[in-house]
Amino acid sequence: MSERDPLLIEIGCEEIPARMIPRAATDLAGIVVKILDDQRLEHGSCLSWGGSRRLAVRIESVQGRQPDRDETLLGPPAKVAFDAEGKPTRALQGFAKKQGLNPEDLTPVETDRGLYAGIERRVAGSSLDQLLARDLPAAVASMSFPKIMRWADGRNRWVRPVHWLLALHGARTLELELFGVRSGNRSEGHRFLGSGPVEIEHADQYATVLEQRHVIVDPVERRKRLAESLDASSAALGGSVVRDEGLLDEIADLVEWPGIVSGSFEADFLELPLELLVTTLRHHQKCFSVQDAEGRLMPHFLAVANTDQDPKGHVRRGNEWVIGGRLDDARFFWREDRRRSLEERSAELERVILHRDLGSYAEKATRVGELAVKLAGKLGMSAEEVAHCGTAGRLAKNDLVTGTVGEFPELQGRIGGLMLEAEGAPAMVAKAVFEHYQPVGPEDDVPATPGGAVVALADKLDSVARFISIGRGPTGSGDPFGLRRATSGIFRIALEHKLDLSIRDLCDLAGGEELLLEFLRERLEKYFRELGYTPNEIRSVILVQGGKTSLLIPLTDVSLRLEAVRGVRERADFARLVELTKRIFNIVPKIEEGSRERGGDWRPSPERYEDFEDPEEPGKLLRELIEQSGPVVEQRAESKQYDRVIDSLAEFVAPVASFFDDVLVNDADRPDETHHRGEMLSRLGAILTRYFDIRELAGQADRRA
Amino acid sequence: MNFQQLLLGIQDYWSRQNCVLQQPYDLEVGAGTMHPDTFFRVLGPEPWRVAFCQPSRRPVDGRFAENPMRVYKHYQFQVILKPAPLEVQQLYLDSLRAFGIDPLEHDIRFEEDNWESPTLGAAGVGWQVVMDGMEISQFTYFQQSGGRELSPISVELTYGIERICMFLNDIKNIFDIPWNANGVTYGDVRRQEEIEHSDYSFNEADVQFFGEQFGRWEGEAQRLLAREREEDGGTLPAPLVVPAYEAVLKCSHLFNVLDARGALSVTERAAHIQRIRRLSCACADAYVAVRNPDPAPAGQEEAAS
Repeated sequence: MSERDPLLIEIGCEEIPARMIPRAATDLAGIVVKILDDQRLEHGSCLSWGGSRRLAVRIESVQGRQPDRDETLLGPPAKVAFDAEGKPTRALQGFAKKQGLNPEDLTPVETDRGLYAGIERRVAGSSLDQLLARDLPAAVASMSFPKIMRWADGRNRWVRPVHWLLALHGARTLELELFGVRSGNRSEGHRFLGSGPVEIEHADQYATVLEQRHVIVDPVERRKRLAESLDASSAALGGSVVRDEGLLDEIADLVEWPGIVSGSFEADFLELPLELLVTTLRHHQKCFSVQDAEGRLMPHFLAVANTDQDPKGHVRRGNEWVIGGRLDDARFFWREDRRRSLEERSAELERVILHRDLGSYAEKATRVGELAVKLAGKLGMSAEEVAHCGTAGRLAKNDLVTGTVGEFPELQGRIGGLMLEAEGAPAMVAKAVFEHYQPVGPEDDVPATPGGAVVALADKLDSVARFISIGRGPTGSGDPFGLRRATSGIFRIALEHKLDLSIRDLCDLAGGEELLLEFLRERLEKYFRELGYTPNEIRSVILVQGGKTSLLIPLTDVSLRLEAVRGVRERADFARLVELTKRIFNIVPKIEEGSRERGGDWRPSPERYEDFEDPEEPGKLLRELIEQSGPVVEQRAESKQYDRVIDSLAEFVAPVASFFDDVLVNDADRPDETHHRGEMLSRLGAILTRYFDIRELAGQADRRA
Repeated sequence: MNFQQLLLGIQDYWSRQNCVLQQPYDLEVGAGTMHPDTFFRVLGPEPWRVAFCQPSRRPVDGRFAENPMRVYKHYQFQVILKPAPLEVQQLYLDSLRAFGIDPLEHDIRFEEDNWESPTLGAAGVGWQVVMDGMEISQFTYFQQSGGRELSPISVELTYGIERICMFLNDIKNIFDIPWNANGVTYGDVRRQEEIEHSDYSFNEADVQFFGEQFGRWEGEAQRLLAREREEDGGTLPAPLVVPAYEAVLKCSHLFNVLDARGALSVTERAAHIQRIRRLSCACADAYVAVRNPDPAPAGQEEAAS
């Protein structure tokens, strides 16, 4: 029996946290596919589905039974198994009895390890039912979730209690048991609209039957329908929805039968700052805002519901009621906070502890202010701008003690900036405070204004430096103070704002020591790894000159050099350039050694170069080449045209190659010339590896992250 | 449906589910979870079902009766089912019908919300139940209490009955809730108390006195837990578990007032929480050690089967 049918497994349970559904659905599919693969059951493609009350997987064209196979069953070694006459010994009889075989049927079989008693036999394949019943329960029970729970007698551990298990192979129900729940051909639809359990007659009908029972099992479809409803509902209100893809992802897994409820709030609330209004709707109620054609917010919201019906208007009324209350709260906090200026809050920061070894936020505010001043000065800002950066740095944390930020922690910085704006502070100061938490993550933008960049960088750098200094840096997978993310933020700000800063500058500005320097260097490597550069490409740039000076290269230059280096392997002359560089670095130490052996008093001097007997001395030609092309390389590097630097370096290939072909470089009979040639090669080597060392790129192509 | 009808309705419903209809605990507590019939009864193997309305004091939420939603003291209706029956979500939804709520006319969702009480050494996994955008209940499968892993697992259902009542009556201010059918409002019953307790918690409570009291009650709890009796020339532990736990509840409330007064620094605050937690866990340990060895309190076996 090996008819091929679709396999469908659905685990029905109590409401799974929305944030865990996508990963869990994928994991379940992975588990089932792995069992099929491990058991050599052929199958087609796989679809994973999930909703609040279910995880499901559907796999096309699954074999119902493993093919039978022939195998050789081996018993004891032949010399133990057979006596002198070739008759089965007691040992073989014992083995045969245990296996239910006739001892006479076993014959000597040649194996890698020698001669054994053995038998060829046909093993019947196991059925899909048997294999899933054996392997699935344990695999599902060991699925990982961000948080699991125990229920009933406390022995079962999973994300939520399991209530039903639907297992179909075509139209046939597979017999399984999971957490004490027996499988069947019944599923359940929507908790309220689905009217109880429903039989699924064939795996093919699963999605359709559930849709009739008000459940969309495909999360992509749910998201699509939600997006359409949002558009339709906002159009009906005469506006358009304020897009928020993150929120859409979140709510698509919160409901099984997505509906959108539109409601209104008092137009008076529109006086609140935009950020506060949108965040209130999003944070507490997962609601979308609506804007008019001019991009102005309208006094409406769109909320998600797990139903498309609202026969008595309760759903709309309830949401309006709650949102009205939330906006009331937000307005209360905002008005209360506005009674005193942001500046007046400075003293209260003393009561907010940053960390027990790092004192209060008041101390941090002072440090960030000072650091922002130093940074702005170093970047060549005007005296007024420097002062603004200092003020912004000093005030940036003051909104932590406002009621609004207490209520909406994700608005930290924003509220401070908005308060300053409302107080009539200079725009640069208000903007810098407003933006100084950015970028919050890899998806977030860096601050748009130069002041914002300075204060954001100062804030993050202070955190990194101070936590490192008290030994609280990241370890392994643990990074309780988010220093890795902060450091990536520092690099992104420096790069996107083209700030002329090196790792050493950052460390010095923050008054950090070796530990900080090492941390930043390591993070820089990781940062570029994440951007897709290979370890060798990164080494070729930051390990130049033995890595000693890499800390001094401005970050923007590191980035530009990496970009140039990335393409270099594709060049036709790449291999020759590498070979040449290697050859130079091989021969120079040998020449130096020879010179040392001949005595140390000889010092080459340019005047004596002309005394060489041979006017065509090849070393002289090398010197001319260096004097001519060296400045071109430098000048191109100066103007940061690193790809053209590589072009210049490539121009050395032909003449230097013929130099090596024509001359016995290390010529014991001509010590002066040899020394001179050595020195020129050494200078050439320095030029070739000054900005990047392409020798690092030779050999096996390494992997991009 | 007025406030007391609602309360009667929900008590009647859970009474019919074989719950012991308990009365509120007669000490200041912050939540129904602190009631000994929750805190102790979720420990150990005995089945247990209880329901009660617990006035819960949260000094930091005091708003001088000026806020339409927040109050110093609110009424929390609490249900414990041990072990949690598999159909508990359905039982909960049926309880809403007792308020006249038809799920088909509303949008009711179970959204992830894991609960933790650091002072009780307790934690659970579950949801907040959201109806039409409003949180109406906490639904928690207790995983741990008094620092002990639980088995079997109890479920705790709590209802914010003021909010539900406001919603059912389309009322925007908690003090306008009709308490009974004769025109008495929530404000008539409670306003004075709210104003005075807010004032007391934020402005008048004697910080030094409260600080001293905290230490005294902590000492009393420790003394009661360490009590021993002599037998056959040796000593055996003889803790007074319930009085010790009441001393812990005193500490908890004193801490809440000190917190509202802003009298605790961040580190002091954490240290106080730690001290209460240590006592709670010690009470739980003592309870498990000395609890009534009867397999189940009378009348409860059937309820749990």
